[in-house]
Amino acid sequence: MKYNFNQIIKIISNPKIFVFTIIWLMVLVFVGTVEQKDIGLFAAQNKYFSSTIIWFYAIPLPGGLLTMTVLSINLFSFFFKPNIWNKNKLGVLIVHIGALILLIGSGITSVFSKEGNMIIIENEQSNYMHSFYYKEFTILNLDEYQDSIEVINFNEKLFSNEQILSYSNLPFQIKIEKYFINSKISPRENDDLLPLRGDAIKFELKEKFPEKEMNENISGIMYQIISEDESVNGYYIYQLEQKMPEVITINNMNYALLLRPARTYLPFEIKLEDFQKTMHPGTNIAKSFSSEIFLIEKETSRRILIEMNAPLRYKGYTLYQASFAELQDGREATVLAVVQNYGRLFPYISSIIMCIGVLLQMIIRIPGLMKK
Amino acid sequence: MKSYSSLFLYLILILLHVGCKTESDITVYKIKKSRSVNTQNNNKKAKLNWTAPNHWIQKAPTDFRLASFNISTNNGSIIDLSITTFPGDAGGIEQNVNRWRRQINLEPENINIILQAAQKESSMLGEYFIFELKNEINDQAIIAAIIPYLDNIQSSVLETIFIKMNGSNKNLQELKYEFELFCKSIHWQQ
Repeated sequence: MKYNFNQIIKIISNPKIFVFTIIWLMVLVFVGTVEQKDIGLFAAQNKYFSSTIIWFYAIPLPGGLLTMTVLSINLFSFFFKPNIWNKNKLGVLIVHIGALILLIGSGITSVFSKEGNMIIIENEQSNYMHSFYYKEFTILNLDEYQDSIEVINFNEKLFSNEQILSYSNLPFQIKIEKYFINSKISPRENDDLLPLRGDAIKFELKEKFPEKEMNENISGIMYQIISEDESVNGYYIYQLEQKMPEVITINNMNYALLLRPARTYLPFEIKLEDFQKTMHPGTNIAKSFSSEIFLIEKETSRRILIEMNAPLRYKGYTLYQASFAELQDGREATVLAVVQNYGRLFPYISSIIMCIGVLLQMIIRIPGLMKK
Repeated sequence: MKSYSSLFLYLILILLHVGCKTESDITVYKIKKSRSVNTQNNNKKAKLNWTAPNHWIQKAPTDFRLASFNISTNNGSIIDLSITTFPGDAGGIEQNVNRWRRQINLEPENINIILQAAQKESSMLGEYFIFELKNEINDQAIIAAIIPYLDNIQSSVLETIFIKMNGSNKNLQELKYEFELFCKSIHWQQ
Protein backbone atom coordinates (compact mmCIF):
# COMPACT_ATOMS: atom_id res chain seq x y z
CA MET A 1 0.00 0.00 0.00
CA LYS A 2 1.50 3.26 -1.10
CA TYR A 3 1.32 6.36 1.01
CA ASN A 4 1.57 9.83 -0.40
CA PHE A 5 3.29 12.64 1.44
CA ASN A 6 0.11 14.02 2.99
CA GLN A 7 -0.84 10.65 4.39
CA ILE A 8 2.59 10.21 5.93
CA ILE A 9 2.38 13.67 7.48
CA LYS A 10 -1.08 12.89 8.80
CA ILE A 11 0.24 9.79 10.57
CA ILE A 12 3.36 11.44 11.96
CA SER A 13 1.59 14.61 13.11
CA ASN A 14 -1.22 12.76 14.85
CA PRO A 15 -2.03 14.62 18.10
CA LYS A 16 -2.23 11.25 19.90
CA ILE A 17 1.53 10.85 19.43
CA PHE A 18 2.02 14.19 21.15
CA VAL A 19 -0.24 13.20 24.04
CA PHE A 20 1.38 9.78 24.56
CA THR A 21 4.92 11.16 24.41
CA ILE A 22 4.07 13.89 26.92
CA ILE A 23 2.50 11.34 29.28
CA TRP A 24 5.53 9.06 28.89
CA LEU A 25 7.87 11.97 29.65
CA MET A 26 5.91 12.64 32.84
CA VAL A 27 6.34 8.97 33.81
CA LEU A 28 10.09 9.21 33.16
CA VAL A 29 10.37 12.37 35.23
CA PHE A 30 8.51 10.72 38.13
CA VAL A 31 10.49 7.48 38.07
CA GLY A 32 13.80 9.26 37.50
CA THR A 33 13.18 11.63 40.39
CA VAL A 34 12.34 8.79 42.76
CA GLU A 35 15.35 6.68 41.75
CA GLN A 36 17.67 9.67 41.91
CA LYS A 37 17.50 9.35 45.71
CA ASP A 38 19.26 5.99 45.49
CA ILE A 39 21.58 6.28 42.51
CA GLY A 40 22.32 10.01 42.40
CA LEU A 41 21.42 12.77 39.97
CA PHE A 42 23.97 12.03 37.26
CA ALA A 43 23.19 8.31 37.08
CA ALA A 44 19.43 8.96 37.03
CA GLN A 45 19.87 11.54 34.27
CA ASN A 46 21.89 9.11 32.15
CA LYS A 47 19.52 6.22 32.76
CA TYR A 48 16.18 7.93 32.16
CA PHE A 49 16.71 11.15 30.22
CA SER A 50 19.84 10.79 28.11
CA SER A 51 19.18 7.22 27.03
CA THR A 52 17.51 5.86 23.91
CA ILE A 53 16.25 2.62 25.47
CA ILE A 54 15.52 1.79 29.10
CA TRP A 55 15.48 -1.89 29.97
CA PHE A 56 12.75 -2.88 32.37
CA TYR A 57 13.91 -6.42 33.03
CA ALA A 58 13.96 -7.78 29.45
CA ILE A 59 11.47 -5.28 28.08
CA PRO A 60 12.87 -2.34 26.10
CA LEU A 61 11.12 0.96 26.78
CA PRO A 62 11.80 4.31 25.11
CA GLY A 63 14.24 6.49 26.99
CA GLY A 64 14.10 10.26 27.28
CA LEU A 65 16.25 10.87 24.21
CA LEU A 66 14.10 8.69 21.94
CA THR A 67 10.88 10.14 23.37
CA MET A 68 12.01 13.72 22.79
CA THR A 69 13.08 12.83 19.24
CA VAL A 70 9.64 11.40 18.46
CA LEU A 71 8.03 14.47 20.01
CA SER A 72 10.22 16.76 17.92
CA ILE A 73 9.36 14.94 14.70
CA ASN A 74 5.68 15.09 15.63
CA LEU A 75 5.86 18.85 16.14
CA PHE A 76 7.94 19.39 12.99
CA SER A 77 5.48 17.50 10.88
CA PHE A 78 2.65 19.78 12.07
CA PHE A 79 3.94 22.53 9.80
CA PHE A 80 3.57 20.33 6.72
CA LYS A 81 -0.08 19.54 7.24
CA PRO A 82 -2.26 20.72 4.37
CA ASN A 83 -4.19 23.98 4.93
CA ILE A 84 -2.36 24.70 8.19
CA TRP A 85 -0.94 28.00 7.03
CA ASN A 86 -3.98 30.24 7.30
CA LYS A 87 -4.69 33.28 9.45
CA ASN A 88 -7.30 31.50 11.62
CA LYS A 89 -4.62 29.12 12.91
CA LEU A 90 -1.87 31.71 13.32
CA GLY A 91 -1.91 31.51 17.11
CA VAL A 92 -1.66 27.71 17.08
CA LEU A 93 1.25 27.88 14.64
CA ILE A 94 3.08 30.34 16.85
CA VAL A 95 2.56 28.13 19.92
CA HIS A 96 3.97 25.18 18.00
CA ILE A 97 6.95 27.27 16.92
CA GLY A 98 7.55 28.18 20.56
CA ALA A 99 7.39 24.52 21.60
CA LEU A 100 9.83 23.58 18.86
CA ILE A 101 12.23 26.30 19.93
CA LEU A 102 12.11 24.86 23.46
CA LEU A 103 12.96 21.39 22.12
CA ILE A 104 15.71 22.74 19.89
CA GLY A 105 17.16 24.58 22.89
CA SER A 106 17.13 21.42 24.97
CA GLY A 107 18.84 19.56 22.14
CA ILE A 108 21.53 22.23 21.87
CA THR A 109 22.04 22.11 25.63
CA SER A 110 22.32 18.33 25.79
CA VAL A 111 24.75 18.10 22.85
CA PHE A 112 26.90 21.20 23.19
CA SER A 113 26.82 22.35 26.78
CA LYS A 114 29.74 21.85 29.13
CA GLU A 115 29.97 22.30 32.86
CA GLY A 116 32.64 21.86 35.43
CA ASN A 117 34.50 23.66 38.13
CA MET A 118 37.64 25.72 38.46
CA ILE A 119 39.57 25.55 41.71
CA ILE A 120 41.97 28.44 41.99
CA ILE A 121 44.25 29.12 44.94
CA GLU A 122 44.77 32.75 46.01
CA ASN A 123 47.34 34.52 43.82
CA GLU A 124 47.32 31.70 41.30
CA GLN A 125 45.61 31.45 37.96
CA SER A 126 43.92 28.88 35.80
CA ASN A 127 42.52 28.64 32.29
CA TYR A 128 40.61 25.37 32.38
CA MET A 129 37.69 23.74 34.11
CA HIS A 130 37.35 20.16 35.34
CA SER A 131 34.29 18.16 34.39
CA PHE A 132 32.10 17.10 37.32
CA TYR A 133 31.36 13.76 35.77
CA TYR A 134 33.70 12.65 33.01
CA LYS A 135 37.29 11.48 33.06
CA GLU A 136 39.95 11.35 30.41
CA PHE A 137 43.12 9.35 30.00
CA THR A 138 45.80 11.86 29.16
CA ILE A 139 49.19 11.38 27.62
CA LEU A 140 51.56 14.34 27.73
CA ASN A 141 54.23 14.32 25.06
CA LEU A 142 56.79 16.30 27.02
CA ASP A 143 59.87 16.49 24.86
CA GLU A 144 58.97 16.42 21.18
CA TYR A 145 58.20 20.12 20.88
CA GLN A 146 60.52 22.77 22.25
CA ASP A 147 57.97 25.37 23.30
CA SER A 148 54.90 23.30 23.96
CA ILE A 149 53.58 20.02 25.31
CA GLU A 150 51.36 17.91 23.11
CA VAL A 151 48.32 16.77 25.09
CA ILE A 152 46.47 13.68 23.85
CA ASN A 153 43.18 12.99 25.65
CA PHE A 154 41.17 9.82 25.34
CA ASN A 155 37.52 10.20 26.31
CA GLU A 156 36.04 8.00 29.02
CA LYS A 157 33.76 6.46 26.39
CA LEU A 158 36.82 4.56 25.10
CA PHE A 159 37.53 2.89 28.43
CA SER A 160 35.96 -0.46 27.68
CA ASN A 161 37.96 -3.61 28.45
CA GLU A 162 40.44 -4.66 25.75
CA GLN A 163 40.05 -1.30 24.00
CA ILE A 164 43.29 -0.11 22.40
CA LEU A 165 44.11 3.57 22.68
CA SER A 166 46.55 4.78 20.09
CA TYR A 167 47.58 7.95 18.36
CA SER A 168 49.77 8.32 15.30
CA ASN A 169 52.40 10.48 17.02
CA LEU A 170 52.97 8.06 19.91
CA PRO A 171 55.48 5.18 19.78
CA PHE A 172 53.26 3.05 22.02
CA GLN A 173 49.70 1.92 22.48
CA ILE A 174 47.59 1.65 25.58
CA LYS A 175 45.35 -1.36 26.10
CA ILE A 176 42.66 -0.90 28.71
CA GLU A 177 42.48 -3.88 31.02
CA LYS A 178 39.95 -2.57 33.53
CA TYR A 179 38.31 0.75 34.25
CA PHE A 180 36.34 1.40 37.43
CA ILE A 181 34.14 4.43 37.95
CA ASN A 182 34.85 3.99 41.66
CA SER A 183 37.77 2.02 42.96
CA LYS A 184 39.90 1.23 45.95
CA ILE A 185 43.54 0.34 46.09
CA SER A 186 44.66 -2.74 48.00
CA PRO A 187 47.80 -4.88 48.33
CA ARG A 188 48.33 -7.13 45.33
CA GLU A 189 47.05 -10.65 45.85
CA ASN A 190 47.66 -12.24 42.48
CA ASP A 191 50.18 -11.99 39.64
CA ASP A 192 48.02 -13.13 36.73
CA LEU A 193 49.24 -10.34 34.50
CA LEU A 194 52.94 -9.85 33.91
CA PRO A 195 55.09 -7.89 33.80
CA LEU A 196 53.74 -5.50 36.41
CA ARG A 197 55.13 -1.99 36.52
CA GLY A 198 55.07 0.96 38.89
CA ASP A 199 52.42 0.81 41.59
CA ALA A 200 50.95 -2.31 40.01
CA ILE A 201 53.84 -4.33 41.38
CA LYS A 202 52.61 -3.93 44.93
CA PHE A 203 49.02 -2.82 44.57
CA GLU A 204 45.92 -3.68 42.65
CA LEU A 205 42.69 -1.84 41.96
CA LYS A 206 39.36 -3.26 43.01
CA GLU A 207 35.95 -2.04 42.02
CA LYS A 208 33.77 -0.17 44.51
CA PHE A 209 30.08 0.53 44.13
CA PRO A 210 29.69 4.03 42.65
CA GLU A 211 28.75 6.79 45.07
CA LYS A 212 25.62 8.83 44.47
CA GLU A 213 27.63 12.02 44.13
CA MET A 214 29.96 11.68 41.16
CA ASN A 215 32.69 13.77 42.76
CA GLU A 216 32.99 11.24 45.57
CA ASN A 217 34.01 8.50 43.16
CA ILE A 218 37.71 7.75 42.81
CA SER A 219 38.08 6.27 39.35
CA GLY A 220 40.83 3.79 38.64
CA ILE A 221 42.31 2.23 35.56
CA MET A 222 44.52 -0.73 34.82
CA TYR A 223 46.23 -0.57 31.45
CA GLN A 224 48.94 -2.21 29.44
CA ILE A 225 51.62 -0.36 27.51
CA ILE A 226 52.53 -1.99 24.20
CA SER A 227 55.65 -0.74 22.49
CA GLU A 228 58.96 -1.87 21.07
CA ASP A 229 60.71 -1.12 24.35
CA GLU A 230 60.37 -4.17 26.57
CA SER A 231 61.54 -2.24 29.63
CA VAL A 232 58.44 -0.09 29.41
CA ASN A 233 55.90 -2.73 28.33
CA GLY A 234 53.74 -4.11 31.06
CA TYR A 235 50.72 -3.51 33.24
CA TYR A 236 50.22 -0.29 35.15
CA ILE A 237 47.56 1.06 37.43
CA TYR A 238 46.50 4.61 38.07
CA GLN A 239 43.96 5.98 40.49
CA LEU A 240 42.41 9.40 40.09
CA GLU A 241 43.86 11.07 43.14
CA GLN A 242 47.39 9.81 42.64
CA LYS A 243 49.89 12.64 43.05
CA MET A 244 52.26 11.91 40.22
CA PRO A 245 51.62 10.85 36.67
CA GLU A 246 53.33 7.74 35.40
CA VAL A 247 56.32 8.94 33.39
CA ILE A 248 57.83 6.60 30.79
CA THR A 249 60.80 7.11 28.51
CA ILE A 250 60.89 5.67 25.00
CA ASN A 251 63.60 6.61 22.52
CA ASN A 252 64.82 9.29 24.98
CA MET A 253 61.45 11.01 24.90
CA ASN A 254 59.42 11.38 28.06
CA TYR A 255 55.69 10.79 28.24
CA ALA A 256 53.46 11.38 31.25
CA LEU A 257 50.34 9.23 31.61
CA LEU A 258 47.49 10.02 33.95
CA LEU A 259 43.79 9.72 34.54
CA ARG A 260 42.13 13.00 35.38
CA PRO A 261 38.78 14.79 35.29
CA ALA A 262 38.12 15.83 31.70
CA ARG A 263 39.39 19.32 31.10
CA THR A 264 37.94 22.06 28.96
CA TYR A 265 40.31 24.91 28.26
CA LEU A 266 38.76 28.35 28.28
CA PRO A 267 39.68 31.18 25.88
CA PHE A 268 40.79 33.30 28.87
CA GLU A 269 42.52 32.94 32.23
CA ILE A 270 41.27 33.72 35.69
CA LYS A 271 43.63 34.84 38.43
CA LEU A 272 42.31 34.85 41.97
CA GLU A 273 43.39 38.07 43.63
CA ASP A 274 41.45 37.70 46.87
CA PHE A 275 38.83 35.40 48.32
CA GLN A 276 36.48 36.76 50.98
CA LYS A 277 34.00 34.91 53.12
CA THR A 278 31.49 36.13 55.63
CA MET A 279 30.35 33.72 58.35
CA HIS A 280 27.02 33.66 60.11
CA PRO A 281 27.64 35.37 63.46
CA GLY A 282 28.87 32.97 66.10
CA THR A 283 29.13 30.01 63.70
CA ASN A 284 31.55 28.42 61.26
CA ILE A 285 28.91 28.36 58.56
CA ALA A 286 29.68 30.57 55.59
CA LYS A 287 27.02 33.19 54.91
CA SER A 288 28.45 34.48 51.67
CA PHE A 289 31.67 34.37 49.75
CA SER A 290 33.11 36.28 46.87
CA SER A 291 36.15 36.12 44.63
CA GLU A 292 37.99 39.14 43.38
CA ILE A 293 39.59 38.02 40.16
CA PHE A 294 41.54 39.28 37.21
CA LEU A 295 40.14 38.16 33.89
CA ILE A 296 43.20 37.85 31.65
CA GLU A 297 42.94 37.64 27.90
CA LYS A 298 45.96 38.03 25.67
CA GLU A 299 47.82 41.03 27.03
CA THR A 300 44.97 42.69 28.92
CA SER A 301 43.33 42.03 32.24
CA ARG A 302 40.45 43.51 34.19
CA ARG A 303 39.37 43.25 37.79
CA ILE A 304 35.98 41.62 38.43
CA LEU A 305 34.12 40.57 41.55
CA ILE A 306 32.26 37.24 41.41
CA GLU A 307 29.75 36.85 44.21
CA MET A 308 26.99 34.45 45.10
CA ASN A 309 24.04 35.45 42.87
CA ALA A 310 26.32 37.66 40.76
CA PRO A 311 28.11 35.38 38.31
CA LEU A 312 30.53 36.44 35.59
CA ARG A 313 29.26 35.96 32.04
CA TYR A 314 31.91 36.13 29.36
CA LYS A 315 32.33 34.61 25.89
CA GLY A 316 29.48 32.17 26.33
CA TYR A 317 30.74 30.99 29.74
CA THR A 318 29.04 31.70 33.06
CA LEU A 319 31.19 31.46 36.18
CA TYR A 320 29.35 31.11 39.48
CA GLN A 321 30.78 31.41 42.97
CA ALA A 322 30.05 27.86 44.14
CA SER A 323 32.24 27.09 47.12
CA PHE A 324 35.70 27.41 48.62
CA ALA A 325 38.43 25.28 50.13
CA GLU A 326 41.01 25.85 52.84
CA LEU A 327 44.36 24.23 52.23
CA GLN A 328 46.52 22.66 54.91
CA ASP A 329 49.05 25.47 54.64
CA GLY A 330 46.39 28.08 55.40
CA ARG A 331 45.83 29.33 51.87
CA GLU A 332 42.30 29.64 50.56
CA ALA A 333 41.00 28.55 47.20
CA THR A 334 37.85 29.52 45.41
CA VAL A 335 35.67 26.99 43.65
CA LEU A 336 33.88 28.44 40.63
CA ALA A 337 31.19 26.45 38.86
CA VAL A 338 31.54 27.05 35.12
CA VAL A 339 28.82 26.47 32.58
CA GLN A 340 28.89 26.88 28.83
CA ASN A 341 25.36 26.57 27.53
CA TYR A 342 24.46 27.94 24.13
CA GLY A 343 20.85 26.98 24.70
CA ARG A 344 20.29 28.90 27.92
CA LEU A 345 18.12 31.61 26.35
CA PHE A 346 15.87 29.22 24.44
CA PRO A 347 13.42 28.51 27.32
CA TYR A 348 12.84 32.26 27.79
CA ILE A 349 12.37 32.88 24.08
CA SER A 350 10.06 29.89 23.65
CA SER A 351 7.94 30.86 26.67
CA ILE A 352 7.45 34.37 25.29
CA ILE A 353 6.57 33.03 21.84
CA MET A 354 4.11 30.50 23.24
CA CYS A 355 2.41 33.20 25.34
CA ILE A 356 2.12 35.38 22.25
CA GLY A 357 0.66 32.45 20.33
CA VAL A 358 -1.93 31.68 23.00
CA LEU A 359 -2.98 35.34 23.25
CA LEU A 360 -3.16 35.67 19.50
CA GLN A 361 -5.33 32.58 19.14
CA MET A 362 -7.66 33.89 21.83
CA ILE A 363 -7.95 37.20 20.01
CA ILE A 364 -8.67 35.42 16.70
CA ARG A 365 -11.34 33.26 18.34
CA ILE A 366 -13.13 36.07 20.23
CA PRO A 367 -15.32 37.35 17.30
CA GLY A 368 -16.52 33.80 16.65
CA LEU A 369 -17.31 33.23 20.29
CA MET A 370 -19.12 36.59 20.53
CA LYS A 371 -21.41 35.64 17.63
CA LYS A 372 -22.44 32.53 19.50
CA MET B 1 4.28 18.58 -2.97
CA LYS B 2 7.61 17.08 -3.95
CA SER B 3 9.48 20.14 -2.68
CA TYR B 4 7.62 20.04 0.68
CA SER B 5 8.43 16.37 1.18
CA SER B 6 12.09 16.96 0.34
CA LEU B 7 12.24 19.89 2.73
CA PHE B 8 10.62 17.81 5.47
CA LEU B 9 13.08 14.98 4.97
CA TYR B 10 16.04 17.36 5.05
CA LEU B 11 14.80 18.90 8.29
CA ILE B 12 14.35 15.47 9.88
CA LEU B 13 17.83 14.42 8.78
CA ILE B 14 19.31 17.59 10.27
CA LEU B 15 17.45 16.96 13.50
CA LEU B 16 18.68 13.37 13.74
CA HIS B 17 22.22 14.34 12.77
CA VAL B 18 22.40 16.98 15.48
CA GLY B 19 20.88 14.57 17.95
CA CYS B 20 23.40 11.88 17.16
CA LYS B 21 26.44 14.14 16.92
CA THR B 22 29.03 13.44 19.55
CA GLU B 23 32.29 15.06 20.35
CA SER B 24 35.39 13.42 19.06
CA ASP B 25 36.61 10.74 21.48
CA ILE B 26 40.27 11.68 21.05
CA THR B 27 41.31 15.29 21.35
CA VAL B 28 44.79 16.57 20.73
CA TYR B 29 46.12 20.03 21.37
CA LYS B 30 49.28 21.78 22.51
CA ILE B 31 49.80 23.89 25.56
CA LYS B 32 52.64 26.31 26.05
CA LYS B 33 55.39 25.14 28.32
CA SER B 34 55.38 27.13 31.52
CA ARG B 35 57.50 26.90 34.65
CA SER B 36 55.42 24.22 36.28
CA VAL B 37 52.45 22.18 35.11
CA ASN B 38 51.84 20.70 38.51
CA THR B 39 51.30 23.85 40.42
CA GLN B 40 50.62 27.33 39.29
CA ASN B 41 52.22 28.57 42.42
CA ASN B 42 54.81 30.73 40.69
CA ASN B 43 54.12 34.21 41.82
CA LYS B 44 54.68 34.72 45.52
CA LYS B 45 56.58 31.51 46.26
CA ALA B 46 60.32 31.56 46.90
CA LYS B 47 62.42 30.53 43.90
CA LEU B 48 65.00 27.78 43.91
CA ASN B 49 68.51 28.94 43.28
CA TRP B 50 71.81 27.11 42.85
CA THR B 51 75.43 27.38 41.80
CA ALA B 52 76.36 25.44 38.72
CA PRO B 53 79.84 24.90 37.24
CA ASN B 54 80.70 27.24 34.38
CA HIS B 55 80.72 24.53 31.76
CA TRP B 56 77.15 23.47 32.54
CA ILE B 57 74.92 25.04 29.88
CA GLN B 58 71.46 25.87 31.16
CA LYS B 59 68.54 25.17 28.82
CA ALA B 60 65.08 26.76 28.81
CA PRO B 61 62.75 25.32 31.47
CA THR B 62 59.95 23.06 30.30
CA ASP B 63 56.61 22.29 31.84
CA PHE B 64 57.79 19.34 33.95
CA ARG B 65 61.29 20.68 34.56
CA LEU B 66 62.26 23.65 36.62
CA ALA B 67 65.63 23.73 34.86
CA SER B 68 67.81 21.62 32.61
CA PHE B 69 71.51 21.59 31.87
CA ASN B 70 73.65 20.17 29.09
CA ILE B 71 76.97 18.98 30.52
CA SER B 72 79.91 18.08 28.31
CA THR B 73 82.20 15.25 29.33
CA ASN B 74 85.85 14.54 28.49
CA ASN B 75 84.94 12.11 25.74
CA GLY B 76 82.63 14.61 24.02
CA SER B 77 79.31 13.22 25.26
CA ILE B 78 76.54 15.54 26.39
CA ILE B 79 74.79 14.60 29.62
CA ASP B 80 71.32 15.94 30.36
CA LEU B 81 70.65 17.04 33.97
CA SER B 82 67.11 17.92 35.03
CA ILE B 83 65.64 19.63 38.07
CA THR B 84 61.96 19.02 38.73
CA THR B 85 59.69 19.71 41.66
CA PHE B 86 56.42 18.06 42.60
CA PRO B 87 54.00 18.80 45.43
CA GLY B 88 54.06 16.56 48.48
CA ASP B 89 56.28 13.50 48.60
CA ALA B 90 55.58 12.80 44.91
CA GLY B 91 55.17 9.09 45.45
CA GLY B 92 58.11 8.61 47.80
CA ILE B 93 61.63 7.28 47.42
CA GLU B 94 60.84 3.64 46.65
CA GLN B 95 58.45 4.39 43.81
CA ASN B 96 60.69 6.95 42.17
CA VAL B 97 63.94 5.04 42.51
CA ASN B 98 62.34 1.87 41.11
CA ARG B 99 60.98 3.86 38.21
CA TRP B 100 64.50 5.01 37.43
CA ARG B 101 65.78 1.46 37.84
CA ARG B 102 63.27 0.28 35.25
CA GLN B 103 64.45 2.98 32.86
CA ILE B 104 67.92 1.40 32.76
CA ASN B 105 66.63 -2.19 32.82
CA LEU B 106 67.29 -2.92 36.46
CA GLU B 107 64.94 -4.96 38.61
CA PRO B 108 63.10 -3.08 41.38
CA GLU B 109 64.37 -3.21 44.94
CA ASN B 110 62.64 -2.75 48.24
CA ILE B 111 63.04 0.45 50.23
CA ASN B 112 65.51 -0.99 52.75
CA ILE B 113 67.99 -2.03 50.09
CA ILE B 114 67.51 1.27 48.26
CA LEU B 115 68.28 3.29 51.38
CA GLN B 116 71.26 1.11 52.33
CA ALA B 117 72.88 1.91 49.01
CA ALA B 118 71.94 5.60 49.09
CA GLN B 119 74.29 8.41 50.01
CA LYS B 120 72.92 10.67 52.74
CA GLU B 121 73.76 14.35 52.45
CA SER B 122 72.65 17.63 53.96
CA SER B 123 72.32 21.16 52.68
CA MET B 124 70.47 24.40 53.36
CA LEU B 125 67.28 22.56 52.45
CA GLY B 126 67.89 19.82 54.99
CA GLU B 127 68.81 16.18 54.65
CA TYR B 128 68.46 14.35 51.38
CA PHE B 129 69.65 11.25 49.53
CA ILE B 130 71.70 10.71 46.40
CA PHE B 131 71.08 7.49 44.50
CA GLU B 132 73.55 5.96 42.11
CA LEU B 133 72.04 3.35 39.81
CA LYS B 134 74.25 1.37 37.44
CA ASN B 135 73.55 -1.31 34.89
CA GLU B 136 76.94 -2.84 34.03
CA ILE B 137 75.47 -4.96 31.25
CA ASN B 138 74.12 -2.18 29.04
CA ASP B 139 76.40 0.54 30.48
CA GLN B 140 73.56 2.77 31.55
CA ALA B 141 73.51 4.72 34.79
CA ILE B 142 71.47 7.30 36.64
CA ILE B 143 72.61 9.56 39.45
CA ALA B 144 69.74 11.31 41.16
CA ALA B 145 68.99 13.27 44.30
CA ILE B 146 65.65 13.41 46.08
CA ILE B 147 65.41 16.50 48.30
CA PRO B 148 62.27 16.84 50.41
CA TYR B 149 61.23 20.35 51.36
CA LEU B 150 59.57 20.11 54.76
CA ASP B 151 57.17 22.46 56.49
CA ASN B 152 58.27 24.65 59.41
CA ILE B 153 57.78 21.98 62.03
CA GLN B 154 59.39 19.28 59.88
CA SER B 155 56.26 17.19 59.99
CA SER B 156 55.18 16.98 56.38
CA VAL B 157 56.69 17.27 52.94
CA LEU B 158 55.45 20.34 51.11
CA GLU B 159 57.38 19.68 47.95
CA THR B 160 60.00 17.28 46.62
CA ILE B 161 62.91 18.33 44.42
CA PHE B 162 64.40 15.82 42.00
CA ILE B 163 67.78 16.32 40.40
CA LYS B 164 68.72 13.65 37.91
CA MET B 165 71.18 12.87 35.21
CA ASN B 166 71.61 9.78 33.11
CA GLY B 167 74.22 8.47 30.76
CA SER B 168 77.00 5.89 30.65
CA ASN B 169 78.67 4.67 33.86
CA LYS B 170 81.97 6.29 33.01
CA ASN B 171 80.51 9.71 32.10
CA LEU B 172 78.43 9.91 35.24
CA GLN B 173 81.37 8.93 37.47
CA GLU B 174 83.27 11.81 35.91
CA LEU B 175 80.49 14.25 36.84
CA LYS B 176 79.53 12.80 40.19
CA TYR B 177 81.55 15.20 42.31
CA GLU B 178 80.14 18.25 40.47
CA PHE B 179 76.67 16.77 40.89
CA GLU B 180 77.15 16.48 44.65
CA LEU B 181 78.35 20.08 44.94
CA PHE B 182 75.49 21.29 42.78
CA CYS B 183 72.91 19.56 45.01
CA LYS B 184 74.47 21.08 48.12
CA SER B 185 74.22 24.55 46.61
CA ILE B 186 70.45 24.47 46.06
CA HIS B 187 68.51 26.84 48.27
CA TRP B 188 65.38 28.98 48.34
CA GLN B 189 65.75 32.59 47.39
CA GLN B 190 62.94 35.11 48.01
